[in-house]
Amino acid sequence: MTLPTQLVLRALLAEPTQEMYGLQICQAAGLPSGTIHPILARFEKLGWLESRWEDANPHEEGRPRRRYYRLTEDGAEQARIAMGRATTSISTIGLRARPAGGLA
Amino acid sequence: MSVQAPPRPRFRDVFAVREFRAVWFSEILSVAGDRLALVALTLLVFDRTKSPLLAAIVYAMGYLPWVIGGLCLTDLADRRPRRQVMVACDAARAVLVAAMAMPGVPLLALVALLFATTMFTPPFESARAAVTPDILHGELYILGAAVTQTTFLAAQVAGAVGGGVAVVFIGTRPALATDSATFVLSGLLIAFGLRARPAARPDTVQSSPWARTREGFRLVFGDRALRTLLGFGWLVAFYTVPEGVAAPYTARLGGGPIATGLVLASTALATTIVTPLFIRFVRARQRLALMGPLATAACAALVLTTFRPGLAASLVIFSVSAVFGSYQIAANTAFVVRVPNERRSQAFGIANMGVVVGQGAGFVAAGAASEVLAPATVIAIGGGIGAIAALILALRWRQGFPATGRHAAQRTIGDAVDPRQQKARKVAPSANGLLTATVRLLPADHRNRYRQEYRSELLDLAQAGAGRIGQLRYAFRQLRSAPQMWFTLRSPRRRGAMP
Repeated sequence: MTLPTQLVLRALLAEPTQEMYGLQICQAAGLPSGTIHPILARFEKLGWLESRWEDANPHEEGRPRRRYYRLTEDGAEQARIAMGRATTSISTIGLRARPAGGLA
Repeated sequence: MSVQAPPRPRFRDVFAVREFRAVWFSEILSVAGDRLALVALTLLVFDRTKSPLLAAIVYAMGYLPWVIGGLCLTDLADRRPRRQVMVACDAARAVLVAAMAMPGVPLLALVALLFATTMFTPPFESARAAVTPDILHGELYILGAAVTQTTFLAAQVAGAVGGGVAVVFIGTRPALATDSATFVLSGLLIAFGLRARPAARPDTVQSSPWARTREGFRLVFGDRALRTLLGFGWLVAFYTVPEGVAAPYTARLGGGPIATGLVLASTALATTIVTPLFIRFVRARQRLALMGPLATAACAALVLTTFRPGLAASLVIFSVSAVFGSYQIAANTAFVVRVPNERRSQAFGIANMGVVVGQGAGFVAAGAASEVLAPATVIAIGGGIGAIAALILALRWRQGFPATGRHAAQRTIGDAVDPRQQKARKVAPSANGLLTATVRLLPADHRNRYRQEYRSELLDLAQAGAGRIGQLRYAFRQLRSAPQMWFTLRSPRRRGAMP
């Protein structure tokens, strides 16, 4: 499992029930925006992730809808197992998602 | 979000914190003592051997332990209580320096002792840097960091000068004995002035020092933001080149040692004066946004030496460059926020090591280049290279952390957005066009979905303050992952564990 994949999984596992859209996942994983869609698509294929459109009506909002992702129950379980098995587990590096909040 | 902001703390408030006072005073004693030992021993070696080369070797060796200590020992202050590590370092240095003061110690042993003494500096410094965020929080921390930075510079100079003076007036041995006493005092201040705190990352699993070092490196280099911030910190090697070639530079202008001293003093003075002002008058968010431009300017200003300015104009150029160098304090604080407490000391150790080694290497390279090129040209080249590096870092920082860094971006991109704080920008047509083209590369039945998804992300980025370049980079990264997307989307749906 590659490092970005692990970072994405860990970001998702931090709040397994919360829905996040792509950019939020990038932020939480500490990865550059626009690099995680292949990872998300793969997990969706595996059935680990489910996604849905934002409820808002795009015509009323005047902007395109966001796509929200969430781990499935089975996916969260599988993800935990995979993270535990990962050979270069990031948990040993000590990287961790940092809580939001500024310097001051 | 509209809560009245608390009054901004002042420097007075930092010194009102008892623990900080203890750490600050011990820092002065430790740093000055460290420098004093180095100068005293260099003079002692010169006195015994009458060899300038040997003396120079001893002085240069003062830097080597930074590498070893920085690599292997800074981690200690994460695995053990930081107060304990600081006291142990001071105690060790007190004993070692006292041993140096003993009569009849052979020269080689003296050098070995100095080496060992200096090796305890990186863990002490890292522990001190790591414990400061435990004592001071938020804006107070930034003020405290600025005070320490200034103190560090001043104490180094004072220690070097004081070392010279002390050796001349009271002799090397008494000077070293005094130095040993300053370490004892520093240790006592820490032991009684600092509250006991548990280790940040107590040892749970046995791991080799090598593995721990590697993990530390992976932490700081594996994270884009930390890597960029580290780069900003290490840029100092480029814009302090004038200090490295101060002597030949001023000699070309017909100046003597006084002119050399002026060059050295002007840069140190400029940083010392401007850093507190920078903190006082620039808001935290703007500081981060200014980091890139200031770093670029600090290096670019030195390119002006190509025009061969006189001494006065040169001093102005160097001072201006040093003034721009005040961005360092912003890089420092952004670094601290992003490093987890469990590895803070080690991360600082790696950062400090890079600065010391980079500066040393920069001085050597600049000195060597000055043999064949005019010192002014060397400074200009150093500044030019630094400016390019700074520009790259600045772009990375802006693009990866739109507006004013990741935390600000998180707040802005998150759900609760205060529209007044939003620096809304429009979606750049070029980025939009590139995204549209990218989507066409995906399998036809998925295009509609990803067109919307990518567009909404692009809009979010734009509203978080990403400019045209940042947006284009986003679109380009999507383009780059398009082939992978195509294969993933085309592969058969398969539920279950990862292959």
